[in-house]
Amino acid sequence: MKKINYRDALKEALIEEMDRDDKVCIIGEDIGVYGGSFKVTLGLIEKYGPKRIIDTPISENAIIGAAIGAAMHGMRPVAEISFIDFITLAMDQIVNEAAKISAFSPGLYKVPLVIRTQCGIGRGIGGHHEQSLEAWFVHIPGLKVVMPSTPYDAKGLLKTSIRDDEPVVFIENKKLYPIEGEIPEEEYLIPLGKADVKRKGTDLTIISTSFMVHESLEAAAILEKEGISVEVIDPRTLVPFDKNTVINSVKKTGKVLIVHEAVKRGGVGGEISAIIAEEAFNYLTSPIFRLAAPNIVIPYNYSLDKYCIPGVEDIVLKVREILKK
Amino acid sequence: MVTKVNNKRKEEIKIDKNLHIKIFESMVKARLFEEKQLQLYHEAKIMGYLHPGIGNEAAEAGIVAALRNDDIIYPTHRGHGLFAMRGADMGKVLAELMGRSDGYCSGLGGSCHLAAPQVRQVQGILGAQIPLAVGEALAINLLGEKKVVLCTFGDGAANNGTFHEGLNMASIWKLPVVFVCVNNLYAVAFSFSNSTSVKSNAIRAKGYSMPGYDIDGTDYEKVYKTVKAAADRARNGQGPTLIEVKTTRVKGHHPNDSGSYRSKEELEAVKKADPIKKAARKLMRLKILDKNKIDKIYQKTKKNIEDAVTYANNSPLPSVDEFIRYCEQTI
Repeated sequence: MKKINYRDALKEALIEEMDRDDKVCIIGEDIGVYGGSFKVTLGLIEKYGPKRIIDTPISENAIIGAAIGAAMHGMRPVAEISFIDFITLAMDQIVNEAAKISAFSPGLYKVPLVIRTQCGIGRGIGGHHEQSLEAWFVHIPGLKVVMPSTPYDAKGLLKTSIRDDEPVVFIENKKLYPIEGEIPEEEYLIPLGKADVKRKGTDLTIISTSFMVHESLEAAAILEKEGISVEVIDPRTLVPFDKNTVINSVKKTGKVLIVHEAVKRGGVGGEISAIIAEEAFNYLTSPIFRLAAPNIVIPYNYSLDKYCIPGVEDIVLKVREILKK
Repeated sequence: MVTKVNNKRKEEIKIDKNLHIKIFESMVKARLFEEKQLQLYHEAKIMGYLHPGIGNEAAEAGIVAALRNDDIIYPTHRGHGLFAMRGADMGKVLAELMGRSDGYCSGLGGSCHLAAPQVRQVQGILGAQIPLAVGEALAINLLGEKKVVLCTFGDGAANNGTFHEGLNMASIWKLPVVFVCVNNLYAVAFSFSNSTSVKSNAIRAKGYSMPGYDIDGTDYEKVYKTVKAAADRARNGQGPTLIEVKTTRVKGHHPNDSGSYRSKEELEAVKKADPIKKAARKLMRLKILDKNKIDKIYQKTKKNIEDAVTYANNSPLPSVDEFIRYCEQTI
């Protein structure tokens, strides 16, 4: 095993896949000499040249469209949309073309495309650079949605996503890039649709995504000292969604708290809680609860961030409240 | 300004007698095929939308003849002449329009998403195909292939943002794309003169540092020569070209559109500009075809289309099980 941060884990995945398959290329704004807004692709242009590391104009819809066209022609492009907020400009190509081309013509055309993007609060840059919009893509048949929280998951899931024959929306989080974790020296892949139990517990199940997994784990460590045993599950991929791991945990604990950084209204927490209510209702010993962002436009003023997304303290308080302790 | 057609270059591109006949045959094929589609639509055998492209035959036949078989064509939603002209099986196209399981897309594509191995997928979102074509051309360059991508779109789609983003990208990367705006002067009911800031989209080519040609889309010879020159240029690594072909929309936006927003005079003029009649007159004048030979072309094509109708009629609707199986493949 070796220690690596989330950013470098992603870069390792890109390098390994580009070395393995010369059909893999990267396309996006300032991904070349600039290395991308979060420096994930820094150094790749020197290694692979401008033919495979393709810097684009600020044309999000055409970035995704061109990546789809290249994918239909046998390439395996990784398109980067540097902030998920900018993805609004490419929604037509993602929702109406990428997601539907193979469904409209089974067996004729495929779109093996990965869209790497990142979300989340953390830099004081406001609601055009810090939203969490994963629920939009979960709603669209034909897209896979991946949201890794650790360096290990980021590398293994990115490699699998690149090898997938369907379009994958791969959502990182700006707070995750410096986070360190262990990964094997040797190559590994993580299948899409397999949740990870990040911490075992018996009293309550927390289902959390992306950066909130780390907040939940910290909260669980605090609660352990109070004699509360919390299980933390990271679905890792929102589509496909690993129902079994979630339901098995609910059967054990009977209590659920869902935590995500996106706005609560219409967020994936609603979908996950509905799945639990439909498929594990009889095992529940209390209502299903959600902790998520309030329905607000994210301000640039980071002194207000604490109010805008859940944190360790909120999770601890909520768990105590649910368990009436 | 519209780029002046290079007469010297044009002179070098010749159409021999056989090619004249081939192009005419494919125009007749597209026309009769579309007329049959309209009939099947009114008989409620074709499902969903249909947008007749009658009036576009010379433009499309010229385009198809100017390309190699391994070049790539992106279609518009209007008319499916390109599919027939490029050698797609008419039975499988009709089966697709009728929602039958032997259609090219197993009955899941229909008119608005029609696709075949010979022609890329129709995009129901107009103009969405422009970036896709750019991406294919990018892949062609990356893979070192010598293919050309020809992307058709309507005058309506030329006002979409994809036009600007796509043409700029194709230009900065000198990609092997030929953009062809098939301008039938209407975006549904909104006329070109009201919808667009220029007299021809070819003028816009200047903003993308590529040649722009404005040509009569009812003249297959002009289309053929212009597209051929643009495709050669693209193949030689000299980058993209934008061509506007002005055609006529003989029918309404869709089969039930009476076209009440068009004047009688305009509709009369459209009839007179019928590209097939124009081509027939020209070929008789050049003594390449006579009335007898033209009749034979019509008869043979009609027979082929009847066979296609029989094939499509005999094909079953997809079962729900079959549909669910396809859905499971795509989640």
